[in-house]
Amino acid sequence: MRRDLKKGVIFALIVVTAPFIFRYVIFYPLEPLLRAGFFVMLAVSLSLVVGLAGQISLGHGAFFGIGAYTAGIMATKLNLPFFLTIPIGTLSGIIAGFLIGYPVLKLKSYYLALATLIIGIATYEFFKAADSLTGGEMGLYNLPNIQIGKIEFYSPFSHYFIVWSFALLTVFFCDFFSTSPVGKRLKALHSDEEAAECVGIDVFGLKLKVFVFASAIAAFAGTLFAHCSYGTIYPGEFDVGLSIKIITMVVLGGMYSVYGAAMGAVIVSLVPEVIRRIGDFFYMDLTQVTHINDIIFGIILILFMIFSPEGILAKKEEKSA
Amino acid sequence: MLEVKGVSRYFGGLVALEDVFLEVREGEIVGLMGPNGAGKTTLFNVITNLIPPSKGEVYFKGEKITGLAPHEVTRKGVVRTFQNVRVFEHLTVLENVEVAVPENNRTGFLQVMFPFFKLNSLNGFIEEKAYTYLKIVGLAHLARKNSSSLTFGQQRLLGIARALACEPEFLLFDEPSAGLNRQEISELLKVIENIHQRGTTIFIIEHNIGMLMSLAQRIIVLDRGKKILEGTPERIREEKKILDIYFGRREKCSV
Repeated sequence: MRRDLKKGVIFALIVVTAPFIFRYVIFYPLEPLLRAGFFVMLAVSLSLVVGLAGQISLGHGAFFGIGAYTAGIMATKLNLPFFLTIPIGTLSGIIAGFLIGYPVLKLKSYYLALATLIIGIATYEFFKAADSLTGGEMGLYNLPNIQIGKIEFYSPFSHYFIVWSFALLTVFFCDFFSTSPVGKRLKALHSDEEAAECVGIDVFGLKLKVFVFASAIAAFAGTLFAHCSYGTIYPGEFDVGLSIKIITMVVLGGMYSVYGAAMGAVIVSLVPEVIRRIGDFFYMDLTQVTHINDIIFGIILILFMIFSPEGILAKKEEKSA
Repeated sequence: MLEVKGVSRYFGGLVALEDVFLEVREGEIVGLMGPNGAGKTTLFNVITNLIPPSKGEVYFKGEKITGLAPHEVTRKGVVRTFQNVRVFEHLTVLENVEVAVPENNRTGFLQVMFPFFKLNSLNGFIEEKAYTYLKIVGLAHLARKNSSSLTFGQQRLLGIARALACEPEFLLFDEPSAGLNRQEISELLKVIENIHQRGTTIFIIEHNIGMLMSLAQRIIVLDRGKKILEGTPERIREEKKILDIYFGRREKCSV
């Protein structure tokens, strides 16, 4: 318990100091860090489904998109304020999670992976095609910032602290969750579904609940994204690549650890910036190389699968346990 | 207490169980014998509904349990162990038992999400309960160990502790002595007798006739999916000659 607390405090301190270092020490824009905040929420919520319950989902980005678009549509078409769009967007994630999870979670392993992958593709295509609702390829624009009374949160700093405070909450809560009675049951069904049934665990119901729960967190992150993305969202941000990126983060950080997933999220979302910096150093624009980021992710993933399939944090945890 | 009424189970053209009728009364220890492939484990799977029967029904305390999901059968008090144990290797020894405690199963998502402070005492309660079951099988000293680091015999005992944590009224053992050495078997016998004395009805698959003789009040013999014999251990012993001829495996059925 004490060790967890220490981990949490260190993590929180890094989160609080990082933007100041970025801005005043290495003179770098805050966008990558802001992005990392969203990815932390996505990766951590997915790690409950993939790491804890052992159910592979390759379509987690879909719920992020559903949350973002629902909030965005509510805000632009109906002019609803943020304190309504955020709950409605989150609710849409819960409903979508239930409707998708119910049929899909009857499948196992490869079939489940394939089905969730298709869900991810289908929602992306829907965002592109439903012109009148989602604005098609162009997406939605003029999305309002979060505004309380006369104070409008439009600066990168304010976005950063809004997003990261929820990201931290997500990490702490999910970490607590994974050691709770429900978390233990999820680990049990991960090990052996039949044996779990035989000790009285409602395997399907539990899988569905954790899937819906993770979808809700992803959709919530999406609603924040809609309000902290400088006024626009477009389908390209919610393509299959997004879901693959999220699962890369979970694998990279260690399947069984919430903090690992959070770390994986930060690393993966900062990789493109590091590549750009390296390019600048050699006076080359590496970002012009097609799919350079995907290539690097691919290499990282392969290296991890070979040398540390359990992720970054996994080995350390085992030693200290 | 438990009634199996005309249960049949076919796997394609293969007959695993055919028209099996049997009854286990409250407080009994009943043994189930038969050669490999006789349908013993299939019968257990049908009772706990891991495999639905092709025909027939199973009743527990007069209530039909065929058609319920396996976890519902467990919650009604009909609990089984597995021949190959199947511990949850992602969990520690103690956690393996904790997940089976009914209070743990009743703790839902909402409860975990909101009253943080109450959960601590609940966790403590579940842990304590799990400890008592570990003590019954004599594994309390290994509680914090990783479950996959246990020996096979210890895993067997862990499987029993896990089943006990479900608070069974009716316990099905699937070959609990398989793969254990003499000393481990005698420990196991004590544990099973202890469980029986606590008021649990026991139905046990066992190849080891000697063990059944000292435990069971009644033995049922299954062959090729059919019940061929039923009676007290003494009677089965008398019939042993017939059995040996019937199964044609003298050496394996030694007393």
